[in-house]
Amino acid sequence: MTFKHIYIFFFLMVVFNNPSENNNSTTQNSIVLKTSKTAFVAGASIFLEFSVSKPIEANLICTNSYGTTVIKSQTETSILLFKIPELFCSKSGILNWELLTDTSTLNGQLYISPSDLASSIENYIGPPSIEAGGADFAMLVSIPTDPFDNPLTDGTSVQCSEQFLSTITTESIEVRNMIAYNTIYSKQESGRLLVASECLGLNSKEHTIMVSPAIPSQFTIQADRPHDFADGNQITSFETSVIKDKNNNVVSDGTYVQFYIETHDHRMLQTSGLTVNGIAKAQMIHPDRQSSWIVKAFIEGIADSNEIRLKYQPVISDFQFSVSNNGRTVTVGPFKSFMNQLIPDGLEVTLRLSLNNTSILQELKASKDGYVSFTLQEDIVPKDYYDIEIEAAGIKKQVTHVSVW
Amino acid sequence: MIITFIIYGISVLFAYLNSGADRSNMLNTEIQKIEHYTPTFIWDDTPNEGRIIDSENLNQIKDDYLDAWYVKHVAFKTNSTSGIADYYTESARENLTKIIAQNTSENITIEATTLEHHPKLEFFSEDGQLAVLTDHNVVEYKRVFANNTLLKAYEEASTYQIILLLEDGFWRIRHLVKTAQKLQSEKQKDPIAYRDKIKGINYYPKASPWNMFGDQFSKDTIAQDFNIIKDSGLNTVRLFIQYEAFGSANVDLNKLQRVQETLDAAYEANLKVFITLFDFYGNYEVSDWTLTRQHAETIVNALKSHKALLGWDIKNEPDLDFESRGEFNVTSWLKQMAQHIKTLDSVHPITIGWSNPSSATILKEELDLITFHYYNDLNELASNVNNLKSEIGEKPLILGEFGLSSFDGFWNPMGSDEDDQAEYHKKAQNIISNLDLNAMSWTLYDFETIPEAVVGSLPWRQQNQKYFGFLDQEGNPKPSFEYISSE
Repeated sequence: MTFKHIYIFFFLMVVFNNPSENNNSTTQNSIVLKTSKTAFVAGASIFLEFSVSKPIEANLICTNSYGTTVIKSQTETSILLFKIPELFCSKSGILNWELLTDTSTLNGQLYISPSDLASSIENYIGPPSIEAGGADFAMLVSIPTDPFDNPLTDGTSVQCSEQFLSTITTESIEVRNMIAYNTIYSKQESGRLLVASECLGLNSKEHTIMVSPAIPSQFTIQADRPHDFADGNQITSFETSVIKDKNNNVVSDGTYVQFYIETHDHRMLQTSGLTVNGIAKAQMIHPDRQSSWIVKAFIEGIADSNEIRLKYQPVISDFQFSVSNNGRTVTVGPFKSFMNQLIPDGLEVTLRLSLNNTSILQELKASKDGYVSFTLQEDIVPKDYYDIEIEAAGIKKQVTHVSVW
Repeated sequence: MIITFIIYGISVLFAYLNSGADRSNMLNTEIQKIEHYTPTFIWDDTPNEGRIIDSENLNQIKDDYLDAWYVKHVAFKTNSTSGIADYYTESARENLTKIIAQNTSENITIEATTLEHHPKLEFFSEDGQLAVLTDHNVVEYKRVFANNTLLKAYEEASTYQIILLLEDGFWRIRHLVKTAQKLQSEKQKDPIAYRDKIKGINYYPKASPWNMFGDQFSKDTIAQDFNIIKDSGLNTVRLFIQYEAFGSANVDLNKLQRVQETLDAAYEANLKVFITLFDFYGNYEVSDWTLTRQHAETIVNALKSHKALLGWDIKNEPDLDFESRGEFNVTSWLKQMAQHIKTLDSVHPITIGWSNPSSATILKEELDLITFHYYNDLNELASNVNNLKSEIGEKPLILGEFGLSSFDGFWNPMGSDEDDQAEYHKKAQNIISNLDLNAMSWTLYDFETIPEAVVGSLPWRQQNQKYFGFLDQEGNPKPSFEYISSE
């Protein structure tokens, strides 16, 4: 029984295992393939030789990976000789040939292997920038090719080297499916990662992968101001701590930090800055009246800071104003600051004029040399008795029934 | 009268001058992709190395990869390099241009197409710019010409490895290496036996001949006709699917649905259906093969499990195209199509409706049933059949069309009348039962109009074609109706 199985097995082997070279011997024609070699290295010249009983002309169809052509025979007396064109000899892969004569066809296959000489390495690296932390990675794909631009055989080893900070590592990878690839993971630190590869003594050029810091983590802010008076003139500066990612890398320059300021009467103020060496700075002018601020900074959607509270003391507790020139000139001042100095120019003063509770005029002016003077023009303010209200530094003063003439 | 004509003429001219480009034309916004190449393409969906591929990228790779094959076929056919630059990188295209230069100098042209691709994505790089494919069992059909004479036509199945790079939005071939090849051995399949006796009729509804599945489609009308056919003792109808009217490569699914409803009606009437594909198709060029294969694939896959289906007739009377298209072109197209349909449907028998008995032996090895049409002298039918039987051996023989027009009007005063037609069918049925022949007659109805594509525009041909029916244009039985079946 077992013998029978083995017999059937061998019988089937013989039936199905019918390699192409055997086709030649089965033809009734007297044309016989003389060339026994079927494996060649790219670049070697290939001749196919057939012995014929009488001289004939014949064509050989020749197909490789890229295309098909027809070759005419170089006939000698009892030999049919074909020279495979150079461009077919130099490309790796299967080369299929078929001999056409008037009476019969012969066919066969040659295998052309890439030469074991690397003449160029094409490296493809991407993405060009990855994030520090060890999770993100780039990929190096190397395609070493032989002098005829054939990818090298599977199993050829490619050395992939990388340099980062003070470490240089080399890893050996193998060509498979015509390429060799290596996954290059980022490290904890940010910086430039240099990559190169080598195959059969041929070196690639240098490639750079930027390892950029990961996303920022929480940070703190502080404020700096010349004094705590609400003079509407000085500037409060805000500054972040050195913002870092979770691996302690300073975030990339230019990271946008936004500062939100909430005033005591729930108004929102905003200012922003970009980081330089991890620190972002922003500024805000002092309020011109008593106020208290809550300040918090954000890197939108990623990280935020602590809250800081700032108080601003009033600089003006009272002011005087007088009406002259038939009520057509209203002079407000002098405005005195915390040391009784005249307040720096620019304090906003508002004049509101109303007649029987109907607003007639509202005018805003900035102080100069400690004073503000309003002139009521006759074409806007006809002769009558008006109520006047003055507002400055959050203080309002009123006088009613002023005769304007 | 003359004034009327002049006014009409002026109005036509005026209407023409008023018809301009509409806005959508003006802006060239309606550029639709034209399908020119649709080989069977099946991804091996085992996961690839590298980045996980998404369907968007996979489709783009497929489109560009197939286009690369297509431009290569065109380049080798015409020995020009147009289009090559879009789909091959600079170093890869050198290989093609060198071969093309060589072929140009030797006056060699290659007509080729690929019929099947079974690619596997081996690798997709992390940055999405490089992909490696192994395309297994690429079935290529090639015709090699030298000085415009055919040297050899053959099919080969190869495995290729391909590196593609994404450059300027195109996936371009960087390396292409053939790693295995076998010459396609002839696909020998066991013939499908069909032993039931076919007593049938070629069918078109009376109102819509050669346009059965168009807008006039009515399942009720067809169901009524099928009942008439059934009651007259027949068991089979032969239907036609027009290639272009059905949308060519992209089959019109509405029409396909109507075919399905027709098969349902046949099933309800207990009739079997022979479906004739590729009616009015006439290109046969190698570059058109993949489109016709996609057409057949859609239809065969949709209908192959229907219980009413009897078999596939690949094409009606293709031997009539031998003269205009070349016998070799036609038969090689038929052969690959027969093999393709067999792989799609291994259950139903296939045949080709040859126009006469002497053509019927062509491709007999590829077919399960041998069909021929016969409009000649009935006295010679028996001897023709006997000759054929001796040539084709065991395979069942079908007389796919026969009939006689009862038109004896102005264009054909010497023609046969309705009584002659009845006599013809009586005689025919007699011969058919004596020979124990499968037969399908032409046709159920007299038609009011015949499309020009069928017999041309000459009135004597048109008129003649209208009166082959067993029922007249009103649906009343003609004398021949008595002999519609041998029972």
